[in-house]
Formats: sequence, C-alpha cells, structure tokens
Amino acid sequence: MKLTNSLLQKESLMNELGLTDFASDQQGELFALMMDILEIKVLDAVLSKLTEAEQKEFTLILLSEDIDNTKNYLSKKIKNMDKLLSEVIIDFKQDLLTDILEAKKELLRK
Amino acid sequence: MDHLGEYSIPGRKEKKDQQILFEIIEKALKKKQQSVAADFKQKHGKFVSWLQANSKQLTTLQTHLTKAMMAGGLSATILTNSVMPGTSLPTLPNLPAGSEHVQESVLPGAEDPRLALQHLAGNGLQIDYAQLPNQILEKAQNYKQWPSENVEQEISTLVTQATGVPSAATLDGHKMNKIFGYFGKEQHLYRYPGDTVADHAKTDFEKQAFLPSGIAPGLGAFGYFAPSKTQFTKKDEDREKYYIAAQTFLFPGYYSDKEYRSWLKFKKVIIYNPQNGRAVVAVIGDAGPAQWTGKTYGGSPELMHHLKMVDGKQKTEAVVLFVDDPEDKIPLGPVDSIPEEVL
Repeated sequence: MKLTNSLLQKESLMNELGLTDFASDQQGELFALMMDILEIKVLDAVLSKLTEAEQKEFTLILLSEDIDNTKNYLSKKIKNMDKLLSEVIIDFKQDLLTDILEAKKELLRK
Repeated sequence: MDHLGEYSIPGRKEKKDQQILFEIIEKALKKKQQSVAADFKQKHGKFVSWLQANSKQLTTLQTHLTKAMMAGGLSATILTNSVMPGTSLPTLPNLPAGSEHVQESVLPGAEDPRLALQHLAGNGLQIDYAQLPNQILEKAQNYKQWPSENVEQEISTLVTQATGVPSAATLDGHKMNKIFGYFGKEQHLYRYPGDTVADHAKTDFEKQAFLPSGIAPGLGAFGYFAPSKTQFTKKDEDREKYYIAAQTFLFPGYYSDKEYRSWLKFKKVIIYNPQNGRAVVAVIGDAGPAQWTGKTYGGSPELMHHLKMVDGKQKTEAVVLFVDDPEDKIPLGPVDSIPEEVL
C-alpha cells in the first residue's frame, strides 16, 4: 500500500462500506485506490481556496515537511479547514456508497 | 456483514460472486481515480504545469498533505465517525433476491426528498422555516463552487421543506446541467397558431406588467402549447404563463437518449428564489439561453414577476429542480404553501 498514514482508517471504512467479507489483500487494494481518490479531492479542495501565488507558496511549505508551518499556513488561509475536509469526506463516502450499490446491481445483472 | 445478502449462495458460487464483485468495484474505483485525476488537471492546469516545470510530483504533494492533515488534529476518528450532521452513514442494504428493491435509496432522502422529511420527522427534528431561504442560499453558493450530487440532494430536500413541493435534482434518472444559476427574462411564446401577444393579458394589470415583454418571433423549443385555439386549455395557458427556458442541450444524456426530449417537454419544475423565499411551479417550455450570455435559465414575464427577479446588471440567481409529481396534481404558479414569515 502506498501510504503508511491515511485520512481514514481502513477497518472502519471497509466496515462502513460493507466490504469486510473481501480477503485482506483485496480490501487493501480497494482501500489504496479509495485513498488515492480522496487525496486528490482533498488537494483539490485546498488548492481551490488559495490564489495562484498561494498555491505555489503552500506547495513549497508542504514539501519542506515542516508540519507545524503547514498547519499554521492552512489555518491562516482557510477559515474552517475541519469543515472543508469533512465536506470532502462526506461527499467522497456517499460517492463510494453509490458506486458499491451500482456494483452490486451489476453483479445481479450478470 | 454478509455483503451479498440473500443473493449469496454458500460455497463455491459465493466465492465466485465475491471475486466478480471485487473486480467490478476495483474497476469502478480505477475509473473514478482516472476521472478525478483528469478533472484535477483540468481545473488546476496552471498549477500542474508549474509543478512539472519545477520537477515536483503531484503524488508527493498528496502524501505530504495527508501527513499534515493527520498531524493537524484532523484525526481519522472524527472523520470516520461523523459522516453527516445529525446522522450516521447507514450500512449498505443487502441485495434482495429480486432486482425490484435495488433502486432503494441508500441515504434517507438521497433520491426522494419526501423520505428525508419523514426521516427528519421521525427523529423529532424541527424545521426552522424562517432560516430555510438562508440555508438554501448558502448551499446554493457552495454548489456553485463545489457542484456535487450530495449538495444537489441537500438543496432539493431543503426546497421540499420550504415549499412543500416534492423537488428533486434527479428524476427518473435525468438531471439538469445545473440546478442554480442566473435567470434572464424571456418573452411570451406563441401558444397556438394565430396567437397574438395581446391575447396573453386579461386584466389591466397583466396588460401593463406583462405585455411590454413582447412575444418571441419563433416558436418555443417544444412548439405550440396547443394545436389550435379551440383545443387550447387552462393547462396550456398556465404552461406558457409559467415557463422556463433551460439549457436542455447541455443536460447529461440529452443527445444520446432519444426519449429524453419528449420526457423533458413541459416537464414540471420548481423555481426557488433563495433571496426572498419565493417559489413558482413552472414547466420547461423552451431551450436556452446560450452559454455565452452567462445565464443558465430564462423565465417567462409572469414567473420573473412573481419571484421578484430582474434581468440586466442586477440579474438574479435561483434554484431550479424537477417536481416529482407523477400524478400531475400540483398546479402551476406561485407556491401558496410558503409560510408568511418567510416572505
């Protein structure tokens, strides 16, 4: 799996999505794909709140791996980061639920 | 949790089905991953070019941002436990033996706003009607920046609550290109062969208020409202009186679905002006406006008047949703059920 840290807990998400019957390696594969999608969505949400100049500034801070500085920068530029992130995740999870329901419907059709 | 539910057959077949389900989900996720990445590159094209020019990887950025978020106190616990304000994410329903139940909504109100109302009522939650226009306006502004089906569903639930008219962003699998946007004022439309603009007003007020708008030189996108004056009914009259022009040519699936045009013809919609809480039930009576105008919809003179919307520099934005009225019981015109205190 690509990440050692992820925005969501694998077991919890798999449980919420009703995917715990899959083998562990299959769950890992699905989770990695899901987190990749989520990360892009989160990055998109953050960048959308910044100006072009701020996006570059933020990237340099982010890549410096100075977590405190990154945290401070985000809290200064984005009023309610928690809310923003929660909204992205709500949207993301609902999308996943729809996809999985669609997958089950497709299985029925096969 | 048995994710295959009643459909699953123990043993080899179940294992095979699980493998097929895994492959379907994996394929769907890979497709989504590609589309999300493509959308990102399109939306942040300049930024991506800048990253590439400076030999920086998008994936590295994603990883670092995740670490920063985790360290920033946005722990996985709060994110997994709080899915919707006041609700929790429901578990997926098991698959039934037949396919008739698979249309069932995953989230309360996700497809039928009336279910959301029942859900709220069932939880003993009170609706603060006076706050609804502001809530809808706030959601609609978010939608402009972050259009998503989730926000569309939230807005349709709120509009249903505010007006009592069952409203939906998606109906029979069809959706509009946008559910919130600027309105332009349209002209009257010819209702039947031989119709004149003077026939569109009965009272002195109507003559003064609505006749100056004039009549469009050509027919609306769906032709006449009635084949002749003798066959012209009150229903046809109301349809022209309360019509909108929508960018049907931009609706998803418009060109690929041959039946879509006839489905859309005079389809009932609700227009909600979140600036003042006024709402009108109308029909889609014409196609337009062109994208370059910066407007998303057009409204008949009567509709614009009742919603207190104006054209020009001070043009107004409003929410447009389908009305879920399969038995055609909801009359066209201003919605009477808006509470007095909201107006």
